[in-house]
Amino acid sequence: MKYLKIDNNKGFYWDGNSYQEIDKINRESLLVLLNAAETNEFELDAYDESLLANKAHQVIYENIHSKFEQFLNDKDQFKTEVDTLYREAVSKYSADIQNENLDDIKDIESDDDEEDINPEDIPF
Amino acid sequence: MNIIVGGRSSGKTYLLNKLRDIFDTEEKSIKYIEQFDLVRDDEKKFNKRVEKDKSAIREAYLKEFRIAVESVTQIDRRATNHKLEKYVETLLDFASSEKLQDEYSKAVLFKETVYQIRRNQEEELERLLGAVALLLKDITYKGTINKYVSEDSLQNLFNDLTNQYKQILETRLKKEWVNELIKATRRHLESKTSSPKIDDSGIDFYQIKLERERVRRFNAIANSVKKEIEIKETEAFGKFKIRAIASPYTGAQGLHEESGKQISFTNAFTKYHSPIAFLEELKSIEGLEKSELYRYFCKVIYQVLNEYDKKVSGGEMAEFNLLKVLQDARQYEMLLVDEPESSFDNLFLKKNVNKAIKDISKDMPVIVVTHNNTVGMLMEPDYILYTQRKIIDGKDEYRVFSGSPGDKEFKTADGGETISSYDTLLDTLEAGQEAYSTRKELYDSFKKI
Repeated sequence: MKYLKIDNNKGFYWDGNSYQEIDKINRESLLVLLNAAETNEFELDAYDESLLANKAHQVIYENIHSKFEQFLNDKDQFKTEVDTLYREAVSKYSADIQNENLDDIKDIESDDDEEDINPEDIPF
Repeated sequence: MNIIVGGRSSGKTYLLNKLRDIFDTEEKSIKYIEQFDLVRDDEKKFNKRVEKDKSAIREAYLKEFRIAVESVTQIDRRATNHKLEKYVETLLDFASSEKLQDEYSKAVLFKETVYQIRRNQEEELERLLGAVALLLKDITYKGTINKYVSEDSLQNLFNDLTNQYKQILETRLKKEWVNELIKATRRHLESKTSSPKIDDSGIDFYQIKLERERVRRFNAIANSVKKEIEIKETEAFGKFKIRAIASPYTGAQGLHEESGKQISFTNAFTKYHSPIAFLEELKSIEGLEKSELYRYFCKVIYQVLNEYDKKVSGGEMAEFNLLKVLQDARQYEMLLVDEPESSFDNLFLKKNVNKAIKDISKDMPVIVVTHNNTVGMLMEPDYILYTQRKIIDGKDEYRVFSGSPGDKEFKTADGGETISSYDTLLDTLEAGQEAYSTRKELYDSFKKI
């Protein structure tokens, strides 16, 4: 499946539910792409400046694409490294890593937002 | 098997301490069971004692978890999130400000990304080369090594690995050189332009993904560690065995007790259901050692069970303590015991304490201070010491008389003074001849009824 694609002279990314124009990308959607990046279904359209009319799309697509490309080049190495991660602990405590998702982590990440201070809330 | 008897404040414990000071040397180690050491515990105290004694079971159980906690504790997810946020923000900002872009910011190198350097393969090859070099260099086992792998094969393997290593090293050095060039050029271009710049320093998707995978795996591991499970049952110890059970904490109080510090865990415990969130909370608590955070995910309780697999009673706890301390004593070369009767009733003393101490005396010298007849006489000592305190001209004078069972008299070390052994033993262990006779008559009168 294409997680980054060029279509109709525009760049798009998959946000988990649908395709969005690349200039709408944010941290959360980058994490969605990252989560899928080591799976076999993760595919990207190569960057081709001539297929992207919008200059902003060119810059964003090229930059993000290059970073994912670097990751994909090291994907096998990544999988090997992940396989050995806390291996003794996973086996000793029979940890259910297949069914562990990152929901808890999202909880924390949204906590960060709570810490953002709205200048209007400051009473002086 | 020696016993020391004597009146109150006659110097029995003093003599025992002196003996310890004399014999406790680097060459000889002494086990000294002090008075009340074996005293009957209440359940809480008993559990604490067992917990302390068996903490190695918990440490062994949590060893791998501890490594994972220490590794995940290093992760600063807020910093990573901030970097990602900044990256997306500055990328979108740069892309949308095309009008602001000039010849500097339009240069390809202005938004060029650097190579991510990974040294896993290089390090793996270094380890392999080290191992092969070891096989090549070894002289002691050269014959054995070459029996299975010829010298030529090893040398060829070493050369092949070296070539691969050189290539990887060369590629990395080239990438680093290019990275430096890109960074320097970017810095230079950024200083010339008013265009916004893309802040992608430290953005390495590989590392970010690895970090998230570490967190994900840690979560799964911690959730397993929190499950109630029997982790170990020790081998039978006398009629006892110890069962260690791991279980989750049920409230902030348990965490507080585990810390042993004046720290509130009320806030942290609200996140206990989510291991990574809980860890973040623990990290933020001042006064908690980072290396100790693994202790707050699950507690380990110990149950001492009797031969029927039931929890021990009060009397059995004392028995267990005694067996434990006497087992410990076997690692020493001499045993000193001060008034074991302080901790047990006569029946238990006769049935258990005497037997256990007597058994140990077959392997090492044992000296027991007592004024209890069950211990003093029924332990059947090989040698008896009697301590005496006398006030002569207003000054305390201490003497030690001694002798073997069957001796009519006990003598001082220089043989200068003697006392009747029969009278001495009756005085110290039975409160004198009269009390001894009265007691016997009273017992007999009950028998007649």
